[in-house]
Amino acid sequence: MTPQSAEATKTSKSVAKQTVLKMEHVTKRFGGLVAVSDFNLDLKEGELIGLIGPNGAGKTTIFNLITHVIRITEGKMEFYGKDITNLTTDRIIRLGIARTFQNIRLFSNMTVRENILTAFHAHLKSDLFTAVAFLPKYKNEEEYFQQKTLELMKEVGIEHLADNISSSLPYGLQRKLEIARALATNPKLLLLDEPAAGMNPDETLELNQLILRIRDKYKLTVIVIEHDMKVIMNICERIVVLDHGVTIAQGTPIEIQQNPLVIKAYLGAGDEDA
Amino acid sequence: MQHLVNAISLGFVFGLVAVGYALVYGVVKLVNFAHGDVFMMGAYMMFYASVLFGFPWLAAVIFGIALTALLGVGIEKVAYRPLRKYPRINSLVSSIGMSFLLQNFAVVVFGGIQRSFPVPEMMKKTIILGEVRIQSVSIYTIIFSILVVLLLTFILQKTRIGLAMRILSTDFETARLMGINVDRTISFTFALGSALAAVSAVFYALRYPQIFPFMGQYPGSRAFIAAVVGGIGSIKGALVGGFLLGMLTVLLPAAFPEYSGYREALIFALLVIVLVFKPNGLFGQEVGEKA
Amino acid sequence: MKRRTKILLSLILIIAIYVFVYFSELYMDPFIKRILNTGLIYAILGVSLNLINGFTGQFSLGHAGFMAIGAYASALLYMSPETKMSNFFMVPLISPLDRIQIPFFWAIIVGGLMAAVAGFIVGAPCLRVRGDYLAIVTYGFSEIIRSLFNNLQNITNGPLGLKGLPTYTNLWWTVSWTIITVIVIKRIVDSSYGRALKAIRDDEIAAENLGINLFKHKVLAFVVGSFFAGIAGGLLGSLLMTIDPNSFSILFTYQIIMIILLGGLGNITGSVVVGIGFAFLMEWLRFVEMPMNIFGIEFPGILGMRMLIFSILLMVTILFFRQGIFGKVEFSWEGVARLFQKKKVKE
Repeated sequence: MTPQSAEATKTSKSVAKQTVLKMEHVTKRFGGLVAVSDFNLDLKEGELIGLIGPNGAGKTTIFNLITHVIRITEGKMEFYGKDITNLTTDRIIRLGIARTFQNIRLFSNMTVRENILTAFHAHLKSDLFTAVAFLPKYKNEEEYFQQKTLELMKEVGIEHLADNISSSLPYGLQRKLEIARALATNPKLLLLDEPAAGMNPDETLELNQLILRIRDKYKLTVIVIEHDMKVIMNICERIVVLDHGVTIAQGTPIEIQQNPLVIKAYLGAGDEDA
Repeated sequence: MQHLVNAISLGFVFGLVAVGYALVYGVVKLVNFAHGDVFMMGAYMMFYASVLFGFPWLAAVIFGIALTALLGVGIEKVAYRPLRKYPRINSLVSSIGMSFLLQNFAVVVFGGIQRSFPVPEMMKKTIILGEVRIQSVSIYTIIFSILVVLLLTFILQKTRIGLAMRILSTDFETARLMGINVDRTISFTFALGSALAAVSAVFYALRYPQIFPFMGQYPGSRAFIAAVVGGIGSIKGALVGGFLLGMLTVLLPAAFPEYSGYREALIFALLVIVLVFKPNGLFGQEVGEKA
Repeated sequence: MKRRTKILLSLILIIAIYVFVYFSELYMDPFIKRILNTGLIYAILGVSLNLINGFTGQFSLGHAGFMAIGAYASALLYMSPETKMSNFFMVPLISPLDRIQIPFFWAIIVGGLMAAVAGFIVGAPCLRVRGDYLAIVTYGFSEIIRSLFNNLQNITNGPLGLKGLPTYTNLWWTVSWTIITVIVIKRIVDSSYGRALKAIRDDEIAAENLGINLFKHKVLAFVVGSFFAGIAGGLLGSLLMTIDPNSFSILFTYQIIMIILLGGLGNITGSVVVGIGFAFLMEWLRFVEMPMNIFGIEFPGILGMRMLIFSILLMVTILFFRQGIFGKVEFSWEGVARLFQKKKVKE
């Protein structure tokens, strides 16, 4: 196993800031296969970090572990100091983590508006009876959700498509819808899984702006998985590089670009997406 | 002892029908609800071949098995193949519909009344070993079932088509890439599964020589439970499941006659418990989680 | 269209329906009335199963079991002690059920609640079991219920069933319950809860990753769906005047599945229309089994023909009308308005 390169493991400068997500010795094995090995992360409030690595490096697996789509084999995870290692997915999300998916998982039979509205449901306070009887409490909540949905659609620029079926949208807009939907769950930490995949250079540029803008506007901490180095190098403050489940480097974009281990991992895998 | 032999031979009958479920599930991932009715059709075909057309008994049986195999292939072509590209639940509903169709077809064409299945003399004998009286059918069932299982194992392990089936059961795409004719392999699977149903129908009808349109329901549901409990998709599991069900069916009422009425409830409870707590059955392979 | 206008129009429609009911109860042929009652019960069953299968995507084969619970629980409560006595001549009915008699309405409600409890129990495995496995589990449950009902002689009278149930069910009851079922379930699916259910149907993992508690919502669909199935069971018992465990077999569930498939999964209008139509169709198909005289040639009636035609219909539906005959077209006042506007344009 590759030892962690000490020089690249520089910790973040902002010591005073609160830790959002802490992952300690996180390991995931599928049978005999080690998908993620001894992964450690200390994520501070407001940070925007990139998670990169060749295909099959275990990046998406880390997202799946954070939101407990798959169960962790070893290790511990904390979110704002609360142990989330054994919580169910829906509870973790309600605590304030949201994500998008590499292979876009929109509700394909629903409209754009409904997709976003659905994301508010986890925070609905009215019970079923109140909702069915359409009592004032539910009516107010529903109106609030509708208005917030409109705001979010405007935020990502899809309000003119509100009543279109989500699967009819072009690829790039589906990704944006997924981001808007994730924002609707009112997250503190946002996990973006290859948000630029399938986008043209103009769209990618726009996406970079969008990510930076929503981070500031909604006070988010963000982790981005991306193959497109134009995204990673331009917006991330810190980058973690994975290869075969092992963290091989960590540091600022410039440090990573010069790191021989990273170059070797990418060349070795014959995967130069950048 | 008497009960035990009885239970083992019934276990084999259930086991063979269960293997039919397991084969089909293993390859196309479909719980074929119509399997019990294919079983029934097998019994009728033998009946007509023997009584109506006057075939000799053995010829009638072989004729029935062949025709049932063809029927299985036909059902797959009409009711399942067109739905293969849709979510699996569609095929499941289709198999329920097919089960229904076969039963009602039998009522209309064969008539709702019971008919007696021809039983050759040698099967009617009772063997007496001291205190124990064993029906010769039970012995024949056990011997022939073992032969059938060996033959099946040979087909799966040693022949090209068996290899194709095994590959198909793990991954459709890989199979296609390897140049396996998917449609043909699936047809063969249905033929094999249906033939097994017909074989077990022979033994079942020898044991209970009354045949009627709904005769497939009971052994069908038994075998289906056996297949699920054993780990649906696994041949070994299906056989073991069949045994288990055979034992429960015969020995439970023998041991606790006063509760025999609750046998059905118990057996279905077993089904539910296994599915909920060990969804892959006792012998099923682990299915990896995926995100 | 304004919400207020829509409510007003709906109220007018409901009043119109009740006027129709009033005259039907007075003048309609009892035979037709009976079929219409059956059809409305089918509609309730279809809409309630649609909540589970169509909107939430949890394939359940247990609806007949919920119905059976509703039918028995309510019948044991609204039957008079004398009728109970004459029914339970083999094994006496346990106390205090043998002395109790409560009004029909409350008996039906209790039946629905009992079915809802069963729905909760049946829905619970949803946590671990999915897709066709869930279908099998629910099927197993309904068989367990049937088997228990065949054996618990001191409660259900075993395979003999209950006979001589008083006929309370009439169009007032069936129409009212159909309206309640449609309104409640329509309201659920249009609410935030409904969006969560549809999200689970479309993509469970995505739904979970939006913070939706899968278990809670799946069970909710089961509980509400089985409540109305129980209600329908209660109404059916009193309509048929006799119930036995084996009339609530998987066959009954298939019929309801056929209704929701034909009407379109997730289509309430479809379930109601096909449910009513189905009752008439099955009644009409009875003629197929009677001796016929076509062009002077005598055809003997063929037993089982009706069910054969039914199963062919079922197969045709599955193979060629997966979207149902109504597809995604739902009844709405906007739709009606559009229809009128189109006509005006043509003029």
